[in-house]
Amino acid sequence: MRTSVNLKQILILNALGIFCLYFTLVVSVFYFFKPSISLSILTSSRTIYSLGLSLFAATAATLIAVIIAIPAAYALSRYDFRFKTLVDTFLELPLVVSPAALGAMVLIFFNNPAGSWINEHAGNFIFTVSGVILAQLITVLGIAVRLIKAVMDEVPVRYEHVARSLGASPSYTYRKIVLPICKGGIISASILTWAKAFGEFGATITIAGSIPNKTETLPVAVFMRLSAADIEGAVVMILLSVIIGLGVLHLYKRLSRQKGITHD
Amino acid sequence: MIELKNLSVQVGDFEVAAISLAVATGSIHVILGPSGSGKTILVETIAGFHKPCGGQVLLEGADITVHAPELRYMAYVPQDLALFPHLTVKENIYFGLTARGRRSEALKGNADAVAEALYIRDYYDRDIANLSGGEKQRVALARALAAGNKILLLDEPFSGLHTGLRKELWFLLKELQVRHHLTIILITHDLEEAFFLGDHISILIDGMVHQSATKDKARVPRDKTVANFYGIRNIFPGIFSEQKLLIAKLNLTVPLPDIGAFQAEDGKILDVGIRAEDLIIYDRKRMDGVLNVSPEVLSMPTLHGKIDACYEKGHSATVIFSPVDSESSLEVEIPYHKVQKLFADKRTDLAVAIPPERLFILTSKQDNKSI
Repeated sequence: MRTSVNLKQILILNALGIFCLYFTLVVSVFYFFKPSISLSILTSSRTIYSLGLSLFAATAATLIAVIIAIPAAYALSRYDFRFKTLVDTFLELPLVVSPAALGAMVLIFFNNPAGSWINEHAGNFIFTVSGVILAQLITVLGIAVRLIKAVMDEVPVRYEHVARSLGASPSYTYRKIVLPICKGGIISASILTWAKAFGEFGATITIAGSIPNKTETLPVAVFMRLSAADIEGAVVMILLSVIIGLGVLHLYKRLSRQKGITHD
Repeated sequence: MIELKNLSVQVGDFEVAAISLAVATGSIHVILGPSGSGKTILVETIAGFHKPCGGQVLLEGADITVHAPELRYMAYVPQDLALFPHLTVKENIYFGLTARGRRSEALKGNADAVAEALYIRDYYDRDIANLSGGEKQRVALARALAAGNKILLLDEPFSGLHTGLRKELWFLLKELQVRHHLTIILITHDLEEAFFLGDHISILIDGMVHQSATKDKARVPRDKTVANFYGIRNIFPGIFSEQKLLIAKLNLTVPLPDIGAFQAEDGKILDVGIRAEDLIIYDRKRMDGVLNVSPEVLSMPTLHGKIDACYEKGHSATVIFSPVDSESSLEVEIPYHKVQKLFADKRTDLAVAIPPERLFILTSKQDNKSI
C-alpha cells in the first residue's frame, strides 16, 4: 500500500533536515574530543581569558550598539528624511562586505589623519581590547538597527498619536509608550545582536589581532589553535562557543515564552 | 467651535481636498462616508498628525493649523482604540493626567468619576489584554475624557462590536456628551450610527465633502453619489414641464418637489429620487385600515401594480413593486409587522402612493455650483 506524503510532512522534513545538518556538524566535532586533555585546556588561563574577553566584549559591543540603534531605528521607522534610503542601504554594509574587509576598512581609517588623531587622543584601538569591542560593534551595529527597526515597524503609530492627543510630548511618548511597547522586541534583538557579536571573528582578528591573554576571543582562539594543528584545543573552543551561544538563545526563548515577550 | 477652512492634505497618493466645515461647540458632528473616502486622514489632520498642504484649522477662532497635537486638547480615539498594552486600565485612564503633569487628587477624582460612569472603575487593576471588546471601548472613552479634554475625535470606535453592545455604547456616548458638554467629531460609515448620534452630518466621498447639513436635512441626498452611498435605488430621470415633473420610466407626473434655489427650466432633465421607506404601499380593493391608509394618502400621486419580490430583514422588509405600464420597478420599505398583513391573502391589485414632498432632485456637480 502506497503511503501518501502531504505538504505539511514535506515542510517539516525540510526543517528537520536543516537541524540535522547543523547537528551533524556539532556531533562530528566529538570525533576529536579527548576528555583527558579537554579539562586542562578548558581550565587553562588562556581559555578562561578568551572566554571572559568574548563575553565582556560581546556584551559591551551589544550595549553600545543597542543604545545607538534604538533612536536610529525609531527615526528610520517613523520619519521620512533626506538620504533615508541611503542610510537604510548602508545598514546592510556588514552583510555585503566580509567582516575581514570591514576590519581592514577600520584599520585604514585609523591610518588616516582623523583616525590617527582619535588613536592619539581618544585611546588606541589597534591590537587592544577596545579594538575587539570596536570590531564587534562595527559588525553588529547595522544588524541591531535593522532588527530594532523591524520591531518598531510592527508597533502601530496610532499609540503615539493617541498619547500625543492626550497631552504627551514627543519625548514623553517615546519614553513612556514607544520604548515600553517595544521592550520585548528590543530584548530579542539585543540577544541576537549579542550572539552575532559573540561569534565575530574576521573584523576582530584584523583590528585587534590574536594576542593570547590580550585580544584573543573564543572565535579567534579556534582559528589560532587550528593554525597550530591543536585540533583538540580547537574542539574545546568550538564546543564552548556552541554551548554558550546556543545556550543563551535557548534560555531566552524559554524565558520569553514564559513572560509572553514577543519575538517580532 | 472648530472650523476647517479649505483644508487640504495629501497622504501618499490620496488627497483630501479643500474641506470646509464648522463643528459647533457641544455638538456631535459626524463625518460619514464609505471606506477609503479619506475620513481618517481628515480627522488625523484635525488632530495634528498630518501637515496640511493648504487651508486652516481654527479652534474658537484661533488658528491651530500648525499646533502640535498635545497643544490642541483634542483627544483622539482610533478605530482599534490603541489602548496601551503595557499599562493597566487605571494607568491608561490616568495617562493624560500624568502626561500633562496633573497629579492632583481632585483631577484623579474626576478621572475616577468618569470611570465610574462608564462602569469600569472595578477593572482598574486589570491588564488591557483581559478586557472584552465593550470594556475596551469604555476604557478608551474614559481615557479620552479623564484627561479633561472637551473635544473628542472618534474614528469608528464602535465598529467590530455586535449590534446590541454598539447601541448600548451609543446611548452612553450621548449621555456623556450632554453631561460633559463635549464637542465630538465622529467618523463612521454606518448610516444608522451617524443619524443616531449626529447633530450635524457631513458626507465625505473620495476626499470631497458632498454635503454637510443638520441631521434632518442630511437625510435627503443632494447628488447621485450620496444617494448611491445611502443605498437609495429609487432614482429616475425626470423632465420639468409646466411646474410639474414627468417621470417617464414610471409613466407618472408629480407636482414639482422642493428644489430650493435650483432654477427649473422646462424640458430640463434631472434625476429625481425617493427613499424606499417614504413610499406607502396599500391594497386598492381593501382600504379597510389594515395598512392604515388615510385620505391624504389617497390624494397622492399613485402607481398601481404588483409585488415581484419581498425580502424580509427582521425589523423590516424590502418589497420590489412593479407598476403597471412602467419600465422600472420601485423599492418599497415596510415595517415587519405590516408584511404579514400585506401578504395575508394573495393580493396583486396593490398601489404605491408617492408623497410629493418626499421627492428630491439630485444635482450634478455643475448644478451644485448654482445652488
